[in-house]
Amino acid sequence: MSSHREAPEISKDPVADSADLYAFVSPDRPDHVTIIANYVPLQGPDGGPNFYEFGDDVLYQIRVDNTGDGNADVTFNFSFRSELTIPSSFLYNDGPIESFNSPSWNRRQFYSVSMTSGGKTTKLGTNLACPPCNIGPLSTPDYPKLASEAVYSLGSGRKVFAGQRADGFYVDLGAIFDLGDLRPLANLHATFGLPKLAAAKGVNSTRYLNVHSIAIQVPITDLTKGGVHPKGALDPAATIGVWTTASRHKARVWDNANQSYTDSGPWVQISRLGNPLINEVVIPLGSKDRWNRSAPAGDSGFAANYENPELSNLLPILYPGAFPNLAAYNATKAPRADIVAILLTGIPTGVVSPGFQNYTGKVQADQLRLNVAIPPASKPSPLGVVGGDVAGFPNGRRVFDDVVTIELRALAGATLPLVDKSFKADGAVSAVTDGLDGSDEAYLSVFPYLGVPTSGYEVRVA
Amino acid sequence: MELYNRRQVLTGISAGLAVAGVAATMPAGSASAAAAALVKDNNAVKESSLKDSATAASFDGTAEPVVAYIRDASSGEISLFVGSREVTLHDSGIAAKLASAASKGA
Repeated sequence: MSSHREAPEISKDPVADSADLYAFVSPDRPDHVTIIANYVPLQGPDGGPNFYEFGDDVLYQIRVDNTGDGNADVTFNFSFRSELTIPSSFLYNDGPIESFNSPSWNRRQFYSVSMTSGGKTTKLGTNLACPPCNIGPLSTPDYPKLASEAVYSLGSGRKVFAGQRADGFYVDLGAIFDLGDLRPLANLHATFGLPKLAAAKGVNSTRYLNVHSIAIQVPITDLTKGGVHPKGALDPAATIGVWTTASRHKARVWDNANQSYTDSGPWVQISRLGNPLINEVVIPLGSKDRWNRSAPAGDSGFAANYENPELSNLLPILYPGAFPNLAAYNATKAPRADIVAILLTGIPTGVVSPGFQNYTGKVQADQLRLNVAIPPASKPSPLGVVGGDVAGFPNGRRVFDDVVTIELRALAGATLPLVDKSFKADGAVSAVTDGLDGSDEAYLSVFPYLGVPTSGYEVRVA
Repeated sequence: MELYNRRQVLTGISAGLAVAGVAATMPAGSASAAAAALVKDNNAVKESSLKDSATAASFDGTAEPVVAYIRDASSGEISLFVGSREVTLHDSGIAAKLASAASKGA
């Protein structure tokens, strides 16, 4: 998963578990950037009567570094509260929910959003309503219309949405974590002496599952250093670094008198996400919780994991003979400067093409770097920069980008020739994929871009 | 994180630390940790056990709950969590009293 249940501690705390992060120049508003942070992963749509929601006791933040020091210069803060309108009922709703004013809707959630920039925090919106979860044709008969009511204008061109969406991320989780037996290449797998597997198409593990999304769309000038509109893609002010965090109060005590928890003390970060799949497959199990609690500015402490990724070393072992050049490179123990650049510093000018960069400087920090001066692609490739489309991952991340294939290929050596001209990528690299060519869910062409969540009634067996 | 000495805790910040109850926690299995609770729970240490101490002055208010955490009583360091703040107190005497109270309440 991009970051679904990726670390031991956060896997037990779904409402604070950052699952995916997207940041891209909005295709329908190219002078605005959209950032989407997903939480509460792997929702079975029929999981009632307590359907999914954000944590009232969690502080959600979207952070932006525009000075290259690994620290946030702009932060969007989101806090939620829930209420019951029919506390005597066990039901989420006791009739159709056709609007936000419906008296049938029992469990509701509201939120506030603020922006911190230049040491000043500005309220952007309060008491904004989340839509209900998509329950079924009787409870939420026109869900797209209902959810559209939850897109709020915050003024100054800003928009926000917080609520349930279809998970747009796609991955063959079952194959990847079954000792990397990527189904399209399964016939080449070493199989540890066990019977050979047949090659097959991938299986999308997130099919028909939902997430909770925090989506915000803001003018580019909200995010850049000095509030400037960059002059072009090579303008150093054009690249921003984005990540999301979730925090809880340091102490929690069950208050028997009030029959509720008392949370107190400073907020403590317990989850973070910048680039996809990093805490999933780059950071080792013994360090994942520490990674989630740390800040990008300190990521040089994790650099060894990026310089010699475990998965890059495993591929030649799992697929004997398929990656001889990668195996030879691994044997030199030379650090993977391509992976470090892509994930920790950004790609300098001229590495990919003369007109492209998303470099933020020497400070190593795991951030989703977006060059906001690169316009949306007219014919986007889900393979992003690897597919010749510099408007996609790892230049930001769009909802449809095939980050699993991109990162698998990069780790297999596809991007190593960018920094080491003597290295020739193995022929098998172009065949590396988990065998999925897109999500099963339809995306939206407008904000918040992630698709309508699968309803509980319509939940389908994969 | 704010740092205070015993005198500041007993005087200067007492208004800011107006509390309805104090709960102290310790990590499970940590034999050296000491904890005490001052809550309206029959199983907790009675308020009167702390009335005689100078700390009583801090417990007169009713605004916000305070959680006290003592990882190692012998260090004298007490972390107080209130609202969105953490106050660190260094006081071997109070830490020892709380440890003793926790021991009696066990």
